[in-house]
Amino acid sequence: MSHSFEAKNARAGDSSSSVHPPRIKRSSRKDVDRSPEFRWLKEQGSRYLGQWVALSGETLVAHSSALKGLLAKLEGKELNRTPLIHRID
Amino acid sequence: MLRIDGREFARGRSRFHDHPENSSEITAKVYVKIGFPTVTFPVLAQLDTGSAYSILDWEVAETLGMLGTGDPAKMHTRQGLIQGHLARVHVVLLADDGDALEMEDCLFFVSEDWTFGNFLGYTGLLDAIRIALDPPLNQFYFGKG
Repeated sequence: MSHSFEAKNARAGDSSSSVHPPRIKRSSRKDVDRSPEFRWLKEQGSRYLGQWVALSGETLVAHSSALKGLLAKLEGKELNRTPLIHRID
Repeated sequence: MLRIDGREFARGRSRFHDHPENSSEITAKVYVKIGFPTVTFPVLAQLDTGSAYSILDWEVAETLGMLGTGDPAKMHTRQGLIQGHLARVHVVLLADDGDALEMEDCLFFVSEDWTFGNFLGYTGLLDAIRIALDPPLNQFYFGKG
């Protein structure tokens, strides 16, 4: 998908919206292999078009039409791994 | 992690998703995992070297407290011209193995009219790092440029 873009200051050397290289550093933050979540998306995802889903392994933990609603549903849930959040377009 | 001609190319690796859920979508997309310092959960973002700039889903931006921040901007899309703003975002390319990459001050376009999810575009993000894809194994390699 290609997009073109108009921003008054989106060029080097201008204000807060100037495009300059990000500051990059390595980090030890890890995620887990999400193959089970990806398998769920492939096999079940089309049933939830337009929805935000929270997946933990191959389990659908919650779904909602709004991210806020999804996060509210996740509050207090004890999961064995942090859910992957995705909106199915 | 990944070496080319004996020299280190990338120190992070993660599995990517490439199966569009919408049956009207006829081409595969590459979705990689990203995170943010202030939230614990990972989300998916489409890797798009054909997109000049990066785009952040507005609901994600709202969760990060970034709605209404930054300069106004417009973007030409296949759905026409949409209004939004530019936000500076601290984004993390999450690794299953090796090192994650923390990228601070990446410029993202945010608009309530954009309904196609997160995009990692070329200018100001992908052009600052090294990336490689291994499609048969769905592996995404990344490293500091």
